Amino acid sequence: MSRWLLFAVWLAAWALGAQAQEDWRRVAVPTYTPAHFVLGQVQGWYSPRAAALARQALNLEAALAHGCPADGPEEARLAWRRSVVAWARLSAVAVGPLNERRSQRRIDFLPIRPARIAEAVAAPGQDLELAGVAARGFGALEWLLWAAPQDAAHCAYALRLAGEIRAEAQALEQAFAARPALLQEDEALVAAMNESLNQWLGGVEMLRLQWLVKPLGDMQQRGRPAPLLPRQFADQDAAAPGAASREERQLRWESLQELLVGTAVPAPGQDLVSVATYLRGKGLNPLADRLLAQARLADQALEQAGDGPASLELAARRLAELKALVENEVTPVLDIRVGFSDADGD
Amino acid sequence: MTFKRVRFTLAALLLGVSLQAGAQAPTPEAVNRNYAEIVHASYQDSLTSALQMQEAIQAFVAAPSESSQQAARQAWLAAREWYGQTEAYRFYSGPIDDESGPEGRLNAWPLDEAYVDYVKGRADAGIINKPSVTITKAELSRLNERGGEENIAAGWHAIEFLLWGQDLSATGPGNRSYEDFVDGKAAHADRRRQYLLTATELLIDDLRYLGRAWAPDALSNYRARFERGGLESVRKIIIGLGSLSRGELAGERLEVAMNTQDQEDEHSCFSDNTHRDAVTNAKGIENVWFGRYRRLDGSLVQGASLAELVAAANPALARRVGEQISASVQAAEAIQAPFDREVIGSSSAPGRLRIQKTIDALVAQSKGLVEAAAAIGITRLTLSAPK
Repeated sequence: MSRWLLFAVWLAAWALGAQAQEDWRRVAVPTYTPAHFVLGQVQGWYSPRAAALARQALNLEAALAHGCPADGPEEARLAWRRSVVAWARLSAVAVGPLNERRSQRRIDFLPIRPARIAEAVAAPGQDLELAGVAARGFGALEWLLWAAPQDAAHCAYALRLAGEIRAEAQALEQAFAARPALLQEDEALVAAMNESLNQWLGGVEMLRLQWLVKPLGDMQQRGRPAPLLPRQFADQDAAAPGAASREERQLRWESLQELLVGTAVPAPGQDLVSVATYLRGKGLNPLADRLLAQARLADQALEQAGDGPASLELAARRLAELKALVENEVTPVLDIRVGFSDADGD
Repeated sequence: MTFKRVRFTLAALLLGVSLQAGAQAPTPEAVNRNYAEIVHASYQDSLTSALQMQEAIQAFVAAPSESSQQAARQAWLAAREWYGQTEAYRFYSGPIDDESGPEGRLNAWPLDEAYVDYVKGRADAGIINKPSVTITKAELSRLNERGGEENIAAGWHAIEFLLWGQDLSATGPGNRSYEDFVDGKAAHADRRRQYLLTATELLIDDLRYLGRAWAPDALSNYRARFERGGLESVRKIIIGLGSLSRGELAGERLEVAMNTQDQEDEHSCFSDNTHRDAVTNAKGIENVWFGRYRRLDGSLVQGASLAELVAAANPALARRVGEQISASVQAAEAIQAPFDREVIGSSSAPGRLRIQKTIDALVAQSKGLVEAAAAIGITRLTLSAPK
């Protein structure tokens, strides 16, 4: 669609009486359809992030190919962190290809098992799949870069893992680029919108459990002075202990937040339409305002979440409150069926 | 056509007839009453079979030998057939897993063997080898899940570990010697015997507790409140089915093991009974959906079902979900033992394909259950109660 045509569509929407506003008393918000919501997410949000991940993963593989073990792990560690940043920004809410390909289990399974990694390092010709996901992906690579000997055998295995991450990232980039063509029929669009809200709920629950509740419980049970967060090896960086996990937790939250209450007001069919903006487009401003207020409380709590149990408990509670609001009040007005996800079970 | 195919087709036909003929929809209250009847009957059967296991364990501990150990193992396997079906009653904060529920003490896994007893390379590991710890029901309960998720001191898998030992074999289950329980043959044999008896008693206490919570004709137990719960109780039933289908059985128990290709992620890893865990879990879901349960004594509990409730709103959907659920049972039955070999290999390995087929069927049925719930006016299948 040309820019001029898009502009014409936007003008038409405006002329038809765009009703809600970003600051909805001043900025007109057009009425959006499920197609605007879903395609805006794919094209304006997921696709660029998948492309960014593919670029970073390529850099990670190159860093390991050229510098490991001769130049030490620093360059590869930096490339790993950049890749994980891109991954966190993309995968906080796993829709479409992320969900269908089970990407998280493929390249970011936690906890890793060092004994399995050691076995795989010792069997360089083995099919990588046979090593199992607890010996592969970002977590295993993190262990190799921060906790394992920096020798040729470990570097060779690390390079294979980086290659697998790069291949998955490229597959995701391609799949997201091809996705709009699969989302033409009403049925597919409604299913994708259902998936988006359901996976958002799953994503916020995963953030709450894995990055707040579990570390908190572990800290209290074992008497640790600080929570042991998921990126425990990168967190041992003497220059910034704990920074890797805290940064990733924040990025995951920011992705969830953006999808839920991002305040941009795009022309229909162009860019990301957050849930709050979608609600405003339907004239549901009081609910959108409450969503925004609750998200701000969660944002403050997450920003202030340190090593103290009280701050972690507060952040977990704020996320639970936000999730309850989305489940109980947002999904019914959008006619979304809240179903089951990988976050169910125990 | 194989026997299984014939049976499946026959079941689908019978269901079709009953759904079409059943023009009169059951009420949610009738569905809840029959569900409660099935839950109570299956916890009673689980208790009965666990008591039989206790007898076998007491006989083994009184006179340890290869044959008495084998009898105790067989009794454990037999009892698991009944407990596995009850897992469809989890995940909605009912008696099994509300804040004071015993689930974590009954069936928690994976279990760190070294928390309970010696393991390869660590002869003095575990509670059994710490004489300072008194082995009582209260103490095992206190130590369960203390200091780590895998610090499991009680329940089915602690008993399983004591009967079979670590599974160090690529082709078979654990191979603990009965002499581990004979004084003078193994360190702390007396404590090992005491541990096995105590963990079994605790498990039976917990099963009795669940039976009481679901007992009929009580004025104020959980069942009494559940039966009065109308559509909210139906919602809980569906949450149990969907959560077990997707997150727990398809996800944690099958897909994670497929992905890691690691025995650590096998549910009943000491006895190599994981393939039956999958079948009995899937069977438990089928029992609830069709509202019928074949008891330990061969009698049938049958009544108003979810399938009929949904069929009154959408017969085709009810039929499809029923077929999906039966297909999951059939797919799970095809998984071969030992499960820890079934998960090994590339994605085209026959065992992995069999497990993947089960996962796919379970995921499909979890989606079908969401549609079924919507057909009867339930749109939120999460733990937080609608406001």
